[in-house]
Amino acid sequence: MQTKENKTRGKRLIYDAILVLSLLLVGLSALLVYKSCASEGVSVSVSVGGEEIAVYPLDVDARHVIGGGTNTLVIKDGEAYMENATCPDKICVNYGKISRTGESIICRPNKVVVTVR
Amino acid sequence: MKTKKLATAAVLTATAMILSYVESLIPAFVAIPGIKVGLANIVTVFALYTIGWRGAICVSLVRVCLSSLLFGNVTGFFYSLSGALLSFLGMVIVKQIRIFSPIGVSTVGGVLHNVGQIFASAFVLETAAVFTYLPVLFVSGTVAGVVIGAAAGLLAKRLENIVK
Repeated sequence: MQTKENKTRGKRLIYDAILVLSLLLVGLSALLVYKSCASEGVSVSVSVGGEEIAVYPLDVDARHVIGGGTNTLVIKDGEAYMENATCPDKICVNYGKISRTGESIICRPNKVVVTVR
Repeated sequence: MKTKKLATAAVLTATAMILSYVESLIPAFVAIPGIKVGLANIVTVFALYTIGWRGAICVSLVRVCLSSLLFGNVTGFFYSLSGALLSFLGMVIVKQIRIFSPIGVSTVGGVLHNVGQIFASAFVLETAAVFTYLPVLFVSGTVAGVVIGAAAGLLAKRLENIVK
């Protein structure tokens, strides 16, 4: 039944839909822009607690212990990944490999940020 | 605050804490810091539509404080607080304009919650790298907001006679 309340509800749902679609559009297009602007990474910048402590080249295979042992970063075959971390959620370890500019692995509990340059 | 409202707010706070705890048990599926469903926000949106914004902000703030005290840490508290405050502010404003249903209001809340957390992360970690996660969190915040809003809106409508 088209009561006044139902009519307002219907109108509001339409505005909801417009909102949701616009937000999704903004998010997805921003993602696309990020992906297409990225290029092959040259090095990774490692920062702990906001301060950059090292920059490692991506073409040199290496294993680095960061933050006094809290995180282990591995660089292999032009990619970097977090092998190990002391944080409880291990999001940084499960994140996978990064190699393109702008990509980053962040360990929030240990305040470690690894970004590809 | 009327006694009934106070008691209701207390019950809602407890419910929000349980939802927050249950959510913390779910392992982080997707490897992006900050991605979560935000189940406890069902209570926040519900409170907004039943006991009003004054009660709702109490529920939200107390829940963030107690949850962080019990199952979190200090930086976690800062992130949650930033997200919760920005999200709540947005929701109250949007609700006043009367253009969206609970779903729309909750969506605004969900997105702002993530945005707030990202800004807090950028501040704590002193890096702009976190902003690369913004698009993903925008999308996840929107989806979560829709689901949460639908649930909370439905609950508010069904339970309003008992709670108001």
